[in-house]
Amino acid sequence: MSRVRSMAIVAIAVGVGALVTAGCGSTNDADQAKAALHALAAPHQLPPAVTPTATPTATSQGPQFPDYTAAATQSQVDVHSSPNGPTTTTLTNPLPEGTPLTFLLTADSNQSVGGWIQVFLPIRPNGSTGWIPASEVKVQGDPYELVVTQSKHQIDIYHFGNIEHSFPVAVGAPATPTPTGTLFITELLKTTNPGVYGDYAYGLSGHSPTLTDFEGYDAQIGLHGTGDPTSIGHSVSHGCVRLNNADIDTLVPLLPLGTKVEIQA
Amino acid sequence: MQVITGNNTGPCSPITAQQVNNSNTTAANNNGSANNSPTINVSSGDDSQPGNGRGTGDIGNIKNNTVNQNVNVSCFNNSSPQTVVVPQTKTVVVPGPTQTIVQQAPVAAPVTTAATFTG
Repeated sequence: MSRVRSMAIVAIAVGVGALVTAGCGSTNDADQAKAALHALAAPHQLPPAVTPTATPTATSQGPQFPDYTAAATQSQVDVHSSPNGPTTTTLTNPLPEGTPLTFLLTADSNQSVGGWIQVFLPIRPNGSTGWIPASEVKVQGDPYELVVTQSKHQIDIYHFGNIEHSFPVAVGAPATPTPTGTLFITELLKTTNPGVYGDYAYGLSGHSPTLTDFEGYDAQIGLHGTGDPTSIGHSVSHGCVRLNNADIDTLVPLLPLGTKVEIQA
Repeated sequence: MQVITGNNTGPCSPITAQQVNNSNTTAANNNGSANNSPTINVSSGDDSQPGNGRGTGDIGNIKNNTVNQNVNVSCFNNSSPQTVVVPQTKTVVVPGPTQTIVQQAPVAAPVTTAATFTG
């Protein structure tokens, strides 16, 4: 019971007492005062306050992208184990060669949870995920998905869920297998060493499951052309997925950074 | 909705009006000779009688007024349990979150450099 209401009740009680003491108050006045007392002290039900639990956002318009990417807008991104959780790693933007730092969202939508989004990370172990503030990235839609089926030595390029291209590929040798799982494109290089990597090479977010380093580097898996077209259709690489140069040239004008690359056995 | 039930038995002193004895005594003057000099006794609650003697003194108007009046006023004291309804915040669940409008990501721009992947 509020302080104001308590004071009012006391004031009315005193007033009723004063009427009786003076002997000048009529019975009707006293009854009215008592009625006022009862009205104030009676249970009073206030309308409940309404607190929305979430802030609604604008509904979507236009195409529903199969995947969404997140391009960093700041010089570094702190990755957290959970929303508002501790920082697990910090990634710099851009990458050393100048490519913008880009992630693939884990969910198949662009929704944020309380201002946080979950993304795949380009670090070991393969398939690592983390949470980053939505305010530190620009989320965009990606219409493309790549699926590598190693047993078929084939890569399929999906555009809004429909196969647009299929190309033969070479995959990792048994000792240096191509890792399975969900990877994404981290960079596109116009190579200065085409004899090994062809004209263009996509860097992927995964790393060799058996190699900790490769020629002084961290054994990052690539999707690239080749100077040895006879290797296509075979399991002979050090983990990369190789395409014919003509086929990789077809992909270069199409694929955004962050495009999902699903590698199946 | 949260309901709190309890007894309201807080201090509630009765209001008492009491007037203290107010003795107002004035002795009657008895001037001059009188055949009789009555004794004027003034006591609580008694009215003094005027003396029989002639005098020019005023007869005191002696009247003791004692008012002892207690007036008890019952404060609002509801001994029965009183229900107080305390409203709670009502939570409204907003469906969602819903998707927002996003643009299509641009095609990746190639960077000219040596590749260092596993090959």
